[in-house]
Amino acid sequence: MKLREVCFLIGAEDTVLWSDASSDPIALPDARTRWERIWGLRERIVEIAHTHPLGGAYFSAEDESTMLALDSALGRRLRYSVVAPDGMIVRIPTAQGCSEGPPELRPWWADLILLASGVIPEHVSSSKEEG
Amino acid sequence: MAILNITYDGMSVDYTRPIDERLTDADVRRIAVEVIRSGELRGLHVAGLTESAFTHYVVDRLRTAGGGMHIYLRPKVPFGGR
Repeated sequence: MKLREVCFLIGAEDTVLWSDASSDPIALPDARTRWERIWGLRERIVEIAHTHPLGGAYFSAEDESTMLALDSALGRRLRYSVVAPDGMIVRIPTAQGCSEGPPELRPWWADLILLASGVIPEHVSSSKEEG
Repeated sequence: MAILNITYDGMSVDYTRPIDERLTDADVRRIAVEVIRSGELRGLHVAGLTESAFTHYVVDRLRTAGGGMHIYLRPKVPFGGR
């Protein structure tokens, strides 16, 4: 599968509420449809995740300005994450600001979003070779 | 003329006064700051709103079925490793 960036809107108990994808491995362009889904699901969204199939687990400058804009529009700070082949990073709002780092427990959908991005997670490819 | 809709601080509100549909995106952002500061936008009044409040917002211009125009000021939503 061709590499591409994927976005998941995550709800309570790690439910995937909605997803979309680009055709580009290093960009998920602006889309009114994505905004409409975020706004429509705003009461249920806990986290917005996206992938960097060719990059690392970090928030890019584009990510930072988008997160700033989204939080100001929604009137509350969301949890955000980036899933990359080399790991995952999550930013969690706190009373003091936010905390950032790898998740304590890797969510079940992390492998799914990587697979949807055209990346076979390392442990999945290892299992396949062993089998 | 067009109807301006602004989404900010958890609210999505139409500005009651029609605006010129030929306004630039920068003009739309400036007007949004002014009407929120002045309290002209129903339910959205932030006197100390900064000039840069809508720097990372985009302007969508959609034609209505009746031939009018609705201008939406909403947050940008791209992500990416670029």
